[in-house]
Amino acid sequence: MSLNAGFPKDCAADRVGGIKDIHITTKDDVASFTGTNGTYTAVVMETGKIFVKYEFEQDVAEWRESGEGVKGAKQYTHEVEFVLPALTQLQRDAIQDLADQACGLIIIVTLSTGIKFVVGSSDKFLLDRPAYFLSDATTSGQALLDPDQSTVVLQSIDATKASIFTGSIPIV
Amino acid sequence: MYDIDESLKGKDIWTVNGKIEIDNATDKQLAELVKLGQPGITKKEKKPSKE
Repeated sequence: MSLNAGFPKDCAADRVGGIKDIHITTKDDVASFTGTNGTYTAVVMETGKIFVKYEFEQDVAEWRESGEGVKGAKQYTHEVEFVLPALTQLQRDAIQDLADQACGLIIIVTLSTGIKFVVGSSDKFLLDRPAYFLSDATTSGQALLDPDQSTVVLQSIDATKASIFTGSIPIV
Repeated sequence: MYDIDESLKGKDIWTVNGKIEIDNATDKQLAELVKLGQPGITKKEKKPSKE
């Protein structure tokens, strides 16, 4: 098998870091993604189902993926981390909702550059390896100036880098 | 004029141009989905005209 192409240096590429927003739905609400080879051009949703938005303060969210290989075998771990501020009933319920989704989650992360990545679906496994709630670190803080907040991490593990999504995000 | 697979019935497909309700999709929208590579949608072949 030959390499498809090299990588041409693009000095005009937008290289700003960070995440603009995160949209999440349950695996059961997504029928499939359209497209292959690392690009999804559309998402097929069950009737009337949509993604919901998790909002956060500036510079407190991150999408990351790490890959490892052993003699041709490969594994990619995708993680989405964000901080939800203020320990309120609303905040508590939003996190519990994520933790309760035993069938998994599908996440669309929009980077600051505007590029969107899908976490929880892949060419090889389709929707069979969705994202799950991994951790929640909640703290009241100790001093008055300490932030009261929860740091949430969602994770999926599959065999390829995340796919780019060029469709529109299903929202109201 | 397109054939739509049963598995797509009732589904909503979100492309770069927004939502397409597959049950109410126009031929133009179905053509867009075919162009995007959406499985389960095929153009009906024209029957040969009788002469």
